[in-house]
Amino acid sequence: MRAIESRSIIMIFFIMFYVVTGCKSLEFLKSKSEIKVRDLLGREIVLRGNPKRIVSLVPSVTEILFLLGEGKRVVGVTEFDDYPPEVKNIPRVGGFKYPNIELVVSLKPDVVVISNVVGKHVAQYFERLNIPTLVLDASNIDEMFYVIETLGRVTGRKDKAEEIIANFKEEIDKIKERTKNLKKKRVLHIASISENFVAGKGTFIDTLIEIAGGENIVDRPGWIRLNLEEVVRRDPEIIITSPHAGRIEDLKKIPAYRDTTAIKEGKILILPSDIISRPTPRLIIALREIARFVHPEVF
Amino acid sequence: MYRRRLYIFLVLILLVFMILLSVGIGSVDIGFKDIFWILVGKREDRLRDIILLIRLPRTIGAAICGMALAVVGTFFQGLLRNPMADPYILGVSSGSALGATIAIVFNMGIVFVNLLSFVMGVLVTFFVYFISSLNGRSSTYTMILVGVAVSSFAFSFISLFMFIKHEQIAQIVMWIMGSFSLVGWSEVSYSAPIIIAGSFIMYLFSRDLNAIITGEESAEHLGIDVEVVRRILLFTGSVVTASCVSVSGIVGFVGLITPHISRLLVGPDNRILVPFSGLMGGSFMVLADILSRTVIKPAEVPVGVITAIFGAPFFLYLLMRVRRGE
Repeated sequence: MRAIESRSIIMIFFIMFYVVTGCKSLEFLKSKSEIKVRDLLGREIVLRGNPKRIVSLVPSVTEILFLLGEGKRVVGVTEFDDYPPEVKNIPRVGGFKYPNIELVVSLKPDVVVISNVVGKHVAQYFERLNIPTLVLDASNIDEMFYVIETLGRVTGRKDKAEEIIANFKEEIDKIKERTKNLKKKRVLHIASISENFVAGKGTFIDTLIEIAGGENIVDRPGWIRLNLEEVVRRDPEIIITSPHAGRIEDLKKIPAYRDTTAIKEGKILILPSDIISRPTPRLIIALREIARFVHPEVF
Repeated sequence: MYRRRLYIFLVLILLVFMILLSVGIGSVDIGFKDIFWILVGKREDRLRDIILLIRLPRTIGAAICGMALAVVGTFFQGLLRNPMADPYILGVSSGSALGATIAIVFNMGIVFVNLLSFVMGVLVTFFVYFISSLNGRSSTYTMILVGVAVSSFAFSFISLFMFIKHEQIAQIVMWIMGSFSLVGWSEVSYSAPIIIAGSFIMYLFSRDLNAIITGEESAEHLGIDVEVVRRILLFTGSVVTASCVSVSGIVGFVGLITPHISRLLVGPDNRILVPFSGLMGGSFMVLADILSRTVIKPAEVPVGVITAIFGAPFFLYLLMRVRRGE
């Protein structure tokens, strides 16, 4: 009887010991190496520690990783990646739209970052191969801050990320300060001249225009194909476009544009497309240019 | 009979060769020795994943879909007595494309893209069959015309979705042009049983099809209920096509030209033509898939583009021949 008792006491003791230490060691593992991330599709992804090998299929994400000083972790990029210059030596694993799955897998990534253009089902495909995948391509300034913060957290560079965001906000405030009491100029951003495809509310360029003391003449959200009558009605004073949007000569030939203030006064700003369309802190360069162009009197 | 068996044997060898080639060739160069060790299970790493979880399922998927499309194409051409008929003629593809587009636009993920495209593909075919048999017996002409009308109706909605949600255009276009790049074991596991069972059921009717092709009246005299047989074949064919399309998107021309090429090689007897055409379609599709991922490495061309590049000129040639024959 006593023997049984003592044995069961020992057993209980062992069980308790295992439970307690087991929990503790699990807890320890969790806090040490698991990183939970929510991507821009709202999916929660669990990473096993800071990823050492990242395949970035979003040029802006590549750029931000380099800015965080973590460019060495990037092992694969898209064929469109051109900034910073170091990315030239990183293997290309397909376009922004269609990654080459075999090449991505062969790089043994700890995490893959894709854009929403590629879509949820590509993310799910990678996850079935046990490769955590994040959808992180910002479509407005707040999302850009979220992406920077998330990448900072993932790579263990939280401070650096916060610093970048703070600097960016500070720059914005400086420009806002100078333009806040000035009369707003009517601005239009054209992404494609032949389709009259323009930036509406909530897009990056729209936010930059607002900060620079302008007013986007398009008040519908997102990227839209603008009715030419609307161009005549709102008469833009400034037109911002990029080299790949089309030829300015063609724009001047369109009757609706011919008599706008912007065309008559020659107020057309052409900015390189990568600095106005990529959600990275380099947007600040575009912002300064736009502000200088919209309100030359204070810059 | 002996010669025909030889043909089937040869095309079977062709298919096996294509499958081996497809597993051996890809964006990542993996030596044949490595592949051998991976296949016998003696290696555990990312290369193994590439062979066993990426290349193999997509190759099998391509082979099965190519086979099914060719079989269905053979039957539909005979059944509708129209050399231009293909598996999509009754509007399956447009329905499937609409289903997939809805799932893509609302970001529902991979399972729903497959499921909705399957369901919509089958529904649209039912609808076409229902409309065209409203006033009594369905004539094949009405059926084809209704198919065309319903297809353009469905595609107008796809265009509308693409216009409204332009950030998802790339995904929709990729799907419409067809691709096996995201075909994994789970896609193969739920589509293959339907496709293989369906193709086999259709094969059982190849003798009846022979009779129907010679004339519906004479088929009735042979004791074949033409209307019932046709209904069974159209239904099965549509379900098979819808499950192909739900996996790979719309891949054109395989289901159109393979039956014609096969007919030139082995003659019109469907008991031989159907299996030959199926194996031929599988080989053609696997070859197209190999090309789709190798012609402009590292990018992938949609497989539908490849099949169209080969298929369209042949289709034109065929068109000329049919015209001359009239």
